Amino acid sequence: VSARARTAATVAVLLAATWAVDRLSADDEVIVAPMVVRAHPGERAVGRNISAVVLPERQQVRTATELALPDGTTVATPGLLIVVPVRVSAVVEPASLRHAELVVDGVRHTAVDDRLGHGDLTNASLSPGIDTVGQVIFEVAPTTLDGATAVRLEIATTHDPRLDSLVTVTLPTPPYSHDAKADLTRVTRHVP
Amino acid sequence: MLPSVSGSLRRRLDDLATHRPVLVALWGAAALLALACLIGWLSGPADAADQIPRDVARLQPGQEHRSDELAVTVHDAFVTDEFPGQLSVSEPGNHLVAVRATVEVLLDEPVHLVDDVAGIHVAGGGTPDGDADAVLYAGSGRWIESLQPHLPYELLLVWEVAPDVVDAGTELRVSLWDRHLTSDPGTTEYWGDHTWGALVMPVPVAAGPA
Repeated sequence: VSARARTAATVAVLLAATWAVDRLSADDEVIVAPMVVRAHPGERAVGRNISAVVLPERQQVRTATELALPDGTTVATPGLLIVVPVRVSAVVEPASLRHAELVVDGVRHTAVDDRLGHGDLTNASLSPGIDTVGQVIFEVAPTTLDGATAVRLEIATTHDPRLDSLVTVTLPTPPYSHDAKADLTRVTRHVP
Repeated sequence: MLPSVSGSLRRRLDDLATHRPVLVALWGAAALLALACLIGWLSGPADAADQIPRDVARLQPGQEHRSDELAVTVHDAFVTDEFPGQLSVSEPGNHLVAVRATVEVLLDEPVHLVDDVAGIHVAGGGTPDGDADAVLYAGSGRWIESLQPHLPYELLLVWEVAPDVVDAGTELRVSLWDRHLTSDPGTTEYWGDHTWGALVMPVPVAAGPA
């Protein structure tokens, strides 16, 4: 075999190997993807630094157009407020519920944390081993829930849950019980 | 046989033939100049006085502007000194100028206002041409940090201005900057790359909230 043929074969093998490595390597998004912990409503999900039960004690998702806050003020919306009861604690170190999203048929909504007077669960401090019980509130357009077929809650103790645990719970599909005016219950703490 | 021409006409034709390259060059230059003027008129800053590009939509208060990301309708503006419990001036004598606008996210994900206040700027009467100092939910006057998809929010975009810069009767010009989905090498996609989408004017300033 001539030297020229050996060189050509080496180049061909290197090109094939490069192509194979490129095809077999995971995308960047997959490499840093969250560690998803799936659970059903009422079932405890445990991740690195989150332990949560969505819809504990057979509680239900509810909707409202106005929310009465513990400080006596109210928050109104031209859309719908979705109230999701959650029981959650940290696992290894103090934390807070920094990430809470409601995905309705692929449309993402972040929790309403800026108009609730810091009274909802996303503003509560979470301690390891002590359950904090409260509500996470979402605001959606008035027609968002009409005919919705997939409603998913995602929560995590890091703002960006990539490379950390992300609890995802598929919620019952609408319609939900509706109150013109609902109460934002105070956050409470319980030792399990 | 070709028709004969008179002596004077022959001389004029000879002159024309002699100067033809010069005439062609002159006509060519004139055509290029006209083309340049046309392109400049279509795309360049047309209003020398205010440097507003012609492709920026000019709207009246109440008219909607839609980008890939947002639908924005600027309604009116007012000047005040305080939003009780939420916001007050940092320097005595300053005022707060609030622009009332309806903003709807057209995407299937929320838009966070912390980094970029929906690209809404005001100018006129010496006001700062930049992001608002605060965004309040008009319904309750509380701070709002993110807009959920497909839900029209009535917002108050608030700037703090020095004394006598803006009074009742001042006419503001509100610029709406569009963001576009873009990405840099090695980063995920993000909304940035601002372009001037619309100019709403005149927006009269009232003495207080309606």
